[in-house]
Amino acid sequence: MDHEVVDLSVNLGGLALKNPVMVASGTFGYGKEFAEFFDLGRLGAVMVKGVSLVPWEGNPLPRIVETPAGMLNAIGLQNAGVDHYLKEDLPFLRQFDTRIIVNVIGKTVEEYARVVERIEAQEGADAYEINISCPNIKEGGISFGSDPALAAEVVKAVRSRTRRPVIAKLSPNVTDVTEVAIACQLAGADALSLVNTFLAMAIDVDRERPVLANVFGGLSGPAIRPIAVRMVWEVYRAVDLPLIGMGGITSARDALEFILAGASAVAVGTANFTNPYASLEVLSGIQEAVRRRGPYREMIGRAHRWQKERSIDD
Amino acid sequence: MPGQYQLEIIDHRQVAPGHFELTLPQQGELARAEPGQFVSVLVRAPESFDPLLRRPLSIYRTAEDRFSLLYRVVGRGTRRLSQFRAGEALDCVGPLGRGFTYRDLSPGAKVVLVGGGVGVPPLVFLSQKLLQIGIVPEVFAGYASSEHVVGLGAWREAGLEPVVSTDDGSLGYRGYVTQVFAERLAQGSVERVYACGPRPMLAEVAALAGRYGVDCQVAMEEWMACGIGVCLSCVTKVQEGGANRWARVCREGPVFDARKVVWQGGS
Ligand SMILES: Cc1cc2nc3c(=O)[nH]c(=O)nc-3n(C[C@H](O)[C@H](O)[C@H](O)COP(=O)(O)OP(=O)(O)OC[C@H]3O[C@@H](n4cnc5c(N)ncnc54)[C@H](O)[C@@H]3O)c2cc1C
Ligand SMILES: Cc1cc2nc3c(=O)[nH]c(=O)nc-3n(C[C@H](O)[C@H](O)[C@H](O)COP(=O)(O)O)c2cc1C
Repeated sequence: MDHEVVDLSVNLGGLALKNPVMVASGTFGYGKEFAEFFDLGRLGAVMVKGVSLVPWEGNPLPRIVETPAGMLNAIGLQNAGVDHYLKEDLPFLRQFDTRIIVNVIGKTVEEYARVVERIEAQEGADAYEINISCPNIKEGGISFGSDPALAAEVVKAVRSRTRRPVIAKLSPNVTDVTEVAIACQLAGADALSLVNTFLAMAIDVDRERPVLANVFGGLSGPAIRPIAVRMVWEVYRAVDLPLIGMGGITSARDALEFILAGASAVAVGTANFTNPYASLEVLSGIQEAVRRRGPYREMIGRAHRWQKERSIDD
Repeated sequence: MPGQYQLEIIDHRQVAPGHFELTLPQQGELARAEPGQFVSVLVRAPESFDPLLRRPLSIYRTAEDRFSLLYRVVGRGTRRLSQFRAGEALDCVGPLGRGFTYRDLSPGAKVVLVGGGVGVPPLVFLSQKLLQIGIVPEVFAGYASSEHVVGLGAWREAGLEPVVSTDDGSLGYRGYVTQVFAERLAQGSVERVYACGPRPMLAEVAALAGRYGVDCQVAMEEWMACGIGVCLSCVTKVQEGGANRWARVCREGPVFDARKVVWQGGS
C-alpha cells in the first residue's frame, strides 16, 4: 500500500505532465546545476530562466538582498539569448524525461513573438510561459502585465506563432489580478501561472540609500505565499483555465494550499536556493497526500467547496 | 559534485573577538574539497524562514576525519551561526565553486599568499595542500588590528612564519598588507601569487602582480542567494576573448585568474 504508485498526472491546456511539480523560472537556471543533485526526470516540468531574442546584460550589483522570510531580486533577466539557449542549454535538458517550459521575455511584442518563432523552428520547448512582467520599452517602460490590453497583445502574438500550449505568467503588481487573467484567457492562453515577484525595495539605513543598484526588486519566498494563494483563489473563480500556482512554496503543505485554492500544478522557486531537494520533497509530500485524501485531480480547487457547503447550510 | 549534508558539530569555539572556528566531520564529497571552495550553511532554526538564505563560508583547514570553517560575526546570519553548539546538526551544501589551481606547480616553486582579514581561511587550507606537494609558501597576512588576527596559529603550527601587517599598527607592520607584499614582489623570483580578501585589496594585488608579470589567482566574494550557479546574484565582470561578460562567483569562481577580472566597475 505504501509503495502504491499514485496517479499525479495532469493536463494543463494540452501540456500533459506526469506530475504537477515544476520548478519556477529563474530559480533553476537551465537545469545543469541541479542535475548534480538529482535526476531532473523526476520533475513534472522545468520552467527555464527567461529567454530573450538577443542577450540581456542584466542589472548592476547588488542584485539581491535578504528580507524577512524572503528576498528581493533585481537580476534584470540576464540571459544569453535564444540562440545560445537552443545550442547550449536545450540539448542538455532534452536528456531528461521532463517537460521543458520556456519562459519567454521581451521588450516589445515583436520580440516575444520572434523568440517563439526561433524556438518553434527547432522544437525547443514543450510549452511557453510568457513572462509579461517585463517593461514595455514602447510604452515608457510600464510592464505588459500591468495592463490587460497589453498583456492580451503579447499573448495573441505568441498564440499566432505556435500550437504548443501557451501559459501566461501573471504579475501580482496590479489592483485586480482577475482583469489581466480574463484578458489572457480571451487572447488565447491555454493556462495561467501565478504569481511573479512583488515589486518591493529595501533601504540601507546606515548608508541612507537603496540597497539594490536597481532601487526596486521583486520579493519572493515564504513572505509572499499568503498573497499568492489569495490570487490563485481569485483567478480560479474568474477564469476557466488550468492554473500553475507559485509563490513561497517550501513544502508539500504549502503546495497543497495552492492546489486546494485552485492550482492544477505548482512551481517551487526561491526554496530551490535554500534546499536543493525542495521540489522533490514537495512531490513526495503530494504523493503522500493523495494516498490519504484520494485522487489528485479531485483536490484541485477543493477549498472552494467549503463556501458552497456553507451557503447550503445557511 | 556538491551534496547536501547534515553534519554534527564536533567543536565550535571563539578564536579571536567575534571570530569563530567551527569544526565538522568529513562526509561524502566534502572530503574531496579543494582550497578556495566553500560550503553554504543554513543558519536558521528548524521550521523558521529567517534568515532565509544560506551563508557561504570557505573551508579553512582539514584533517583526516574533519574540516573547519573560520568566520567573523558581521550580521544576523553569522551571529545566529555563532550560537550553534557542539553536537548540534548543521545543514551544509558543498563543496561549491572552483578552487585554486596549484597542482601544476613543481616542488620548491616560489609561491606567495596574500590574505586580508577573513580572506585568510582559504589560504590556510591552500598552505596545507602546497606543503604536501613540497611547496613552502611565503605568507603575507593583513588585518584591521591585532584583535582581528586569525589563522596565524594554524600557519605557525605548519611551520610557516607569516609576515603580518595591521591597518592600525597594533601588530606587525603598520599599513596595508599590499605595501609589504609590493616590497616582496620587487625582490623578484615569485612564480605565483594567491590572494583572498576585500575587493579593493584584491584589485591592488592584481595590479601589482600584473606589473611584475606574475601569475595571480584571486578568491572573490559577492552576495549570493543560491550558491550553486542558477540565480545570477553574485556575478562579476570578466574579460574573455576581448569581450566582457558576467561570470558567476559561486560557480565559475570564487577563484579567478586576476588578469581576467574587470576591476573597474566590474560589479
Ligand atoms: C565564496 C565566499 C566565501 C566566504 N568565506 C568566508 C569565510 O571563510 N569567513 C568569513 O567570515 N566570511 C566569509 N564569507 C563572507 C560571509 O559569507 C558573509 O560575511 C556572511 O554571509 C554574512 O552574513 P550575515 O548574515 O552575518 O551578515 P548580513 O547581516 O547579511 O550582512 C553583513 C555583510 O555581509 C555581507 N553579506 C551579506 N549577505 C551576503 C551573502 N549572501 N553572500 C556574501 N556576503 C554577504 C555583506 O557585505 C553585508 O554587508 C564568504 C563569502 C563568500 C561569497
Ligand atoms: C532570482 C530570481 C530570478 C527570477 N527570474 C525569473 C525569470 O527569468 N522569469 C520569470 O518569469 N520569473 C522569474 N522569477 C520569478 C519566479 O519564477 C517566481 O515566480 C517567484 O519567485 C515566486 O515564487 P517563489 O516565492 O517560490 O520564488 C525569478 C525569481 C527569482 C527569485
